[in-house]
Amino acid sequence: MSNLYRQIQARMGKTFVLLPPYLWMFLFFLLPFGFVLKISFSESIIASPPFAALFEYDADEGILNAVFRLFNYQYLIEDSLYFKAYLGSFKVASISTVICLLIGYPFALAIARSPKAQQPLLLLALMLPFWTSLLIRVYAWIGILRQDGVLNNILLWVGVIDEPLLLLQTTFATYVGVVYAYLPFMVLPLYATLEKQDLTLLEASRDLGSSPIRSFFDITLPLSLAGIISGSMLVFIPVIGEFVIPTLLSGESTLMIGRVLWTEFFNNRDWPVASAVAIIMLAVLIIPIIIFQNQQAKQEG
Amino acid sequence: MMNSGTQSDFIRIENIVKKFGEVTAVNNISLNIHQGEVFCLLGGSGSGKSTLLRMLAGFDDPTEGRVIIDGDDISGKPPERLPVNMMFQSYALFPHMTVEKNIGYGLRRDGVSKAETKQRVDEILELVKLTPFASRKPSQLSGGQRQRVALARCIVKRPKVLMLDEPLGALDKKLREETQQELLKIQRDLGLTFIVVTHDQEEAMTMADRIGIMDMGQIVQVGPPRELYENPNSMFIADFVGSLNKFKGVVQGQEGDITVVRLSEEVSLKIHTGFEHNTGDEVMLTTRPEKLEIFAADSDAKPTTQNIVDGTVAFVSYMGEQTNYSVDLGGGVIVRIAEQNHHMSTKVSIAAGDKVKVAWPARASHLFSA
Repeated sequence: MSNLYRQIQARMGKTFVLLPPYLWMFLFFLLPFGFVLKISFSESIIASPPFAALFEYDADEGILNAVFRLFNYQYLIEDSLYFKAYLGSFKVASISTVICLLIGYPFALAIARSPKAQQPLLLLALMLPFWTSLLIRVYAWIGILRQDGVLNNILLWVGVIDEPLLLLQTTFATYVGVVYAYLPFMVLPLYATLEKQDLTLLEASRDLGSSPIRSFFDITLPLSLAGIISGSMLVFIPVIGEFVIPTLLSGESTLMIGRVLWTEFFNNRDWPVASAVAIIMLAVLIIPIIIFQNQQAKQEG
Repeated sequence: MMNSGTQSDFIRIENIVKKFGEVTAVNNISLNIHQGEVFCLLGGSGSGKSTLLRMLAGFDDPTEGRVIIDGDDISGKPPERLPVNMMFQSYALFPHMTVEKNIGYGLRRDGVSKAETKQRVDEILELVKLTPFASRKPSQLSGGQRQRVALARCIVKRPKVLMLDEPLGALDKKLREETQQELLKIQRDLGLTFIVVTHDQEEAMTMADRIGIMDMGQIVQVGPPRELYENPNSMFIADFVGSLNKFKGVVQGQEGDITVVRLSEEVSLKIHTGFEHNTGDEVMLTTRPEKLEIFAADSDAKPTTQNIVDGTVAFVSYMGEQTNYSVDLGGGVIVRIAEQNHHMSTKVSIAAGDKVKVAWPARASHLFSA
């Protein structure tokens, strides 16, 4: 009797613990996503809200009519702007991820191999920029990159260049901004895996005849694959939809999907097309997100 | 000096010192290790045994002194260039490689061809009975299997010396005994030189040809297990190896070879140590529990030892293969006695509180200055 009671109690306890995250995901992800999905099958009209209803109840017939319009998606396929924008986002995200990895790996390795007592301080330094708003930090880059900015002045003064370089309003500026802003997201998961690595493995590989560099490629690097994937996903996924950095630093010169979305939504007030853009972006991102999730599960298992 | 290959000084450790800042971890050790022997470095934690091992493997450089292996001075050489391999306490198997890859790793790094590597790995797999597990990852193996992979990974390289850091530490008792014998068989068959580091004196006793006992960065005594056990050169060694009774006493006098030592008002013992001792000296008297014999007070047995001491049993603990007795001899002298439980034993009836006599041979004790 008391056993059964305890079982019920245990099951209820489990449900209770799991309920809040599920509720949260339902309210703040699934429900809004449903709205966006619904709107993407709608038609833009001049009204408030600016899209046609999907479901209409016919009181005379007593039936519910639903009209799913696919032309928003058709439009995205037909107008090459969208494909180019997706491709642009993909390119910026991929290249930024690789650069972040190349810069971030030595960073993470250096922190993970420094004395234990120093590590919290180094991590704090890494995260210090987060204490300032991203917007302000991006504006600071404008000050550095513009034609009469800090960087050009230094280069002119040193004599490397004769006239100021055009850095702002180029795709280069987006890379600078994105790599700068997302580097910590690469370093942290890398640090987490590298810090856990058993250093006697490196001694073992030295003992068996490997040079330090060889040991790095044979042992350290493959064993940090989980961190590399996590870090890359944490950079790649948000950069795909990045809006603020390319808009402020590159303006018109870099076409990314985040800006297209913004334009459709706020300038053209075409919510259905904007929704369709968002849905396709999500569909494309699902693949790397699944890889990321798998990796996480493997790491924990 | 070109005396490579000679048997008795295959490894020469010469006045080696290692300091970490202010701390001296290894303090002026000189030692010769013979080819083909199992040499055990035995000591507690912080005794410097691991530091010494790391220097021999090339992971740390000595502050002073040098190490010569088979005629080559290894000082300053990185570990990948030494003819020495180490079996780590944690085994340090590469988790992302299969058993086969783990074992072949060292050969591939030495530039051995793929075909030869395969052949040598297969041979070693056979030797350590791991052939069916060749394509498993270390995480899919049991503790004993991992240990054998770690061993295989080292011996496949045919090192001149194999260092083993607490080789059996991670195994349970049953497996330890089996593994120990397997290890020694492989060592003998391949003619390898083993240097074993351990804090476990039982492990050292059963494996080693010679043991070097370390304390505070120095080697206190070197010798075969029997010598260390029977003739310890200090109180530290006597106490460190095996279990021990120790008593404070005063030398009462010398009668020929026999020294009389008084432990308390009630207890005086005749001791034969092979040395003469000065009357009035304060000494520590030590004896091993299994050297003494216990009899019931009313027993018919007539022990012929020089000392037969009366006492009262304070405590009996039955251990299976042996029984341990604590016997109060009076005046605060409590002695531990260990007796084998053979099936003829008439002593099963001895219980706490019983009057007993203890047979105490004159040669069973050692005296150290207190």
